[in-house]
This record gives sequence, structure tokens and C-alpha cells, in this order.
Amino acid sequence: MTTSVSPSEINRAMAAIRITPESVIREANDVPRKIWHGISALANFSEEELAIATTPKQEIYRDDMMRLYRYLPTVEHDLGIPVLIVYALVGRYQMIDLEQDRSFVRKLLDAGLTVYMVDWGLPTRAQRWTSIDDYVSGYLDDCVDVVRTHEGVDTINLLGICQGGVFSTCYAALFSDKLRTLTLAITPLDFHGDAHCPQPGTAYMNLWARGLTGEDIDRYIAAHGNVAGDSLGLSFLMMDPVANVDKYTVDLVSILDDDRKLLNFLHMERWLADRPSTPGEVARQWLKDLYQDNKLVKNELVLGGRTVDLRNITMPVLNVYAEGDVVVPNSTTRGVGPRLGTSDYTELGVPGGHIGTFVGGKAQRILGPGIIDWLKARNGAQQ
Amino acid sequence: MLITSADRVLQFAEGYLPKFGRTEANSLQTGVDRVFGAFADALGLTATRAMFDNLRALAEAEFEWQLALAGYLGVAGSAVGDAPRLAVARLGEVSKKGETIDSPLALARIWTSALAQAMHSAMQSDGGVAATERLVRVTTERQLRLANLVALAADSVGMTTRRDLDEAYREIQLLKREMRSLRRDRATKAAPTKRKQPSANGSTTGTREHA
Repeated sequence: MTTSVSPSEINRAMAAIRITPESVIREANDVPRKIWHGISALANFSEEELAIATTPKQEIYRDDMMRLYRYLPTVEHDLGIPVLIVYALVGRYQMIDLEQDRSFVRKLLDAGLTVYMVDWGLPTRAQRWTSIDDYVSGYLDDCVDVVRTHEGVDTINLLGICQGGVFSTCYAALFSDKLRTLTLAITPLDFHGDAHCPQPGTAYMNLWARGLTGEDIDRYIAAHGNVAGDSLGLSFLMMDPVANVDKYTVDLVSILDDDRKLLNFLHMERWLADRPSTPGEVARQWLKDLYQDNKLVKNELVLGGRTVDLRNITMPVLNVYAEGDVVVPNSTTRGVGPRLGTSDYTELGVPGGHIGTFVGGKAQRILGPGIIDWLKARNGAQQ
Repeated sequence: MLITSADRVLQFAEGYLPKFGRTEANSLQTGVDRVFGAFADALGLTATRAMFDNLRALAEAEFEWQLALAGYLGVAGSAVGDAPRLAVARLGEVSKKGETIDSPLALARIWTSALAQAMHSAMQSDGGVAATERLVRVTTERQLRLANLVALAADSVGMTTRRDLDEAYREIQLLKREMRSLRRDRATKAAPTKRKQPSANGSTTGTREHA
């Protein structure tokens, strides 16, 4: 890579800059105005306005720190399509119900679906030895059984997001008779996909995890017990440090005079600040078995003595990916259809990044209708 | 260029910064241990000696961490050096399209986006990944040594250590798994299709009831 810049390149670059004294003065006046407006707005937002995940729900089952919620219907017509949503451990489930006007959960409810949600809670030191199998064959299987009982059905629709998608994939392979469909969103499946198809600027976690040895990971878990939520938060920040500096400076200043955007910003901050710890044993398995050894797509992952064989996934599968995802690159998500046992495999791409899938305006216009139509078609409901 | 810059910073940190005379300190410590160790133990100073050893190990780990951090920051710093070229290229593209940048904030955005690209390249380079891995390793080592020191102190006054708690939690987790297995076996034998029934208020609980 050369670092020298030719005079002609500099001239061309300078030609693009048309900053006049007037525009500088205009902005110099504009920025303080926005800041004063923002200070006032920040002080005046009510707790109700700042609240996230406000869609009404009822707790119907609990075990340890885990809770299972059933959202209250928003429409009269019930399509009889029960959907159990499984979010990741590394963030709270509120992400998919962050904004009232862009809530993924509300979209499903408004379409007449019956929505259940697993809240993994906030693991403490007591969950140090809780394994992926405890989550999949324990908590998740119990939740699926409770939903089946509540709905009086033998099979339900499982929707897993990110890490929750991996748990859901494992579950579908081990308990295929309990599922009608499987929907995965922004879910890493082929953890070495980035190595075969590099996408610059993505897959930091994959690179770091593969560079460490198994012993490094064992020692890390021994040293820290659980992986603290703030450590995870820092890892995510360091994936794109400049963008994060931008976010709290240039980006923030530009939205300070827009109450709606400022409120969205605060909702996201509230969600980010509530990052749970990951149980040490889960983190150890996640990093070694998946990131390092890529056992899931090799059908070598063993949970509770049973091998997770993707060929057992015979129900219809919808795989949603974010086109600009840097956390879970497309190369680790897409193209897994031939590895599954189902002949009904669909991929759906949405614009934006990892989290943008569930909060971005453009993504929401595709994601909600895309999943709802797909579920309706597989559950015998009219489009 | 990025890797070279990072390596230079690392080499400087490794080669020219003082290392607390670690080799000499270790030799002296070993000699003192061999001569006076048994005598000190007889006087009831075993725990104190172990804590002193761990304190020294912690200081070494702290120093290694500083070096690793310097290496990591060196990689990040090299990205800053590469960003102007990328910013010029981006401005060139703007100019080529016949567009203009007429606001200082917009110019700032061009700069930060160029810097972000340079940072991505630097951190994903071999040197960047190696610096990150090293930082993870030495952070782990520092944490382990700190935990050892605290555990020794706690042990010396008869307090429960984190390891004791972890062992207890491990036992509890194993018992939970056995309970789950027994519960399922019983349910399967009793009625293969029977599922958990919700209570009258619509709430059911698992193995540990909180509701």
C-alpha cells in the first residue's frame, strides 16, 4: 500500500471543498442552537418517553433467571400461529421492541400472530457453569413445551436471533418434532465462512477468536468466571471505534434539535447499557467449539451427549441476514441451505447492519412483512 | 506500512523501555528463598511469602500489560497516519462526481469515515490481530494473578474465595442437570405426551420456583 498522494489528487480533493466563511458562520451559529435545544430536551423527556419494550406482556413461566413472556394480542383476529422468539445472551430481548412505532413484536401482533418471548435474564456468578446444553435442552425446551401446552398444539414456530438463532438451530436439530418452522435472523452458522470469503471491515470477532489458542480461552474464563457485560460491550465498541466516536460527537450534534431522533438515540443507549454477562461455560463453548472449531456446520457439536446434526432440521427454514452486517458477516450466515435436512429453505436480505435489522426504518419495511408472509404461508393462513 | 509502524512502536517498547531489572530481581528472590525459606515458614510466614511472590508476579503482569497496550495503541496510531490519504481519495471521488462539501461538519464526516476505514484495515491486519491477541493474553494473566493474590489474602483470614464459590456452583449446576433428567424420565414414563400444565393464573414454574 502506498501512502504518497500526488499533487493532482490533492488538487482534485481541494476542488471538492467549497466551505465559505458564510457556511462556517452558519454552522457555528447552528451547532450551539442545536446543543441548547438538546440540553433542554434531554432534561424534559419523561420516564415514559424514555421507556423501552413497552408492548404489554404477561409472564407465563420462569426458571432461575429466565422468564417466558406472552405478549397480549393487539388485534381481534387470531391466526393461530404461535411464535416463540429467542434472543441472544449478549444483549437483552428489548432490542426487538425498542421503539413503539418500529417494534418488530408489535408488527407480528398486529398481523394476528401469537408472540412469546424468552428473556434469558441477567446471569450471575451462580450461572458460571450453565452450558449451551442447559440453555438449549433445558430452558428452551421447557419454554417450547409451555408454549405448546398454552396453545394446545404439538408444534410451534421458533424464531432465533443472532446467538439465539444458534441456540434455536441446535434446538431444531435435537427436537425437530416440536417445531413447525424455524426462522433465523442475523445468525452465525458457518463460523469460518469469513475465512473463505473475506469482507474487509467485518468479522473482527472471528479473527480474534481464531487467533487465540484453546488454552488462552480456558485461562480467560478461569480468570474472569463469566464474561462481564461491560467487557462484551467494549468488544463491540472496539469493532468500530471511530464510528463510536462519531456517534457521540458529530452524529449526536446533528440530531440534538430533533426530539424524535434524540429519543431513539436514548432508547438505544438504554438498551446498550443493560448488557448481561455471559456464563463462563457458555462463553468457553461458544469461542472454542464454534468460533475456533466451527463444529456446528460440521455436525460435530455435542450437547448433553447428543450430536447436533443439521440434517435433522427438516422443518421449513427462513434465514434472514443483514446486508451490511459487520458483527455477523453474510459469509457466516448465508448458504447453509444444502447442509440442512429441509427442502424448504429461504433466505431474506434486509438493508443495514446487525442491530439495524430490528431498529432501522428501511430494514423494518422488509423484515416484518417478509417474516409474517413466510410464516403465514407455512402455517396454512391466507396471505 | 501499517504493520511496519506498529512493529516499530512495539520494538521500541520491548527493547528500550526499562524492565525493572526483572532477571536480577528474580535471581535475588530465588537466592533469598533458598536460604531463608524454611526458616520463614517455621516462623509462620508462609502466607506472607506467597503473597509477596504473587505481588511481584502481579507487578510483572502489569508491566507486560503496559507493553501490550502500547503495541495495540501503536497499531491504532498507524491508522491515523494512513487516514489523510484515504480522506484525499474520498474527496477526490466527491469532486469527480461534480459534488461539493460546503459544511465543516460534512468535512468532518469525510475525515472520520476515512479514519474508520484505516482503522479497520489496521486492526484486521496480521499485526493488528496479533496485538489484540497479546492484549487479551496479558489482560488474562494480570487478572489471574490479581485473583491469586486476593484468594491468598482471603484464605489467610479464613474467608471464602471465588474458587470455593465456583466449586459450590459447579455442584449445584450438576445437581440441577440431574434433577432435570430425572424429571423428564419420570414425565416420559408416566405419560409420553403429557406436558407441563399452566397454573390457574396462567403461570407455570420450572425446577426452581420463584413466582
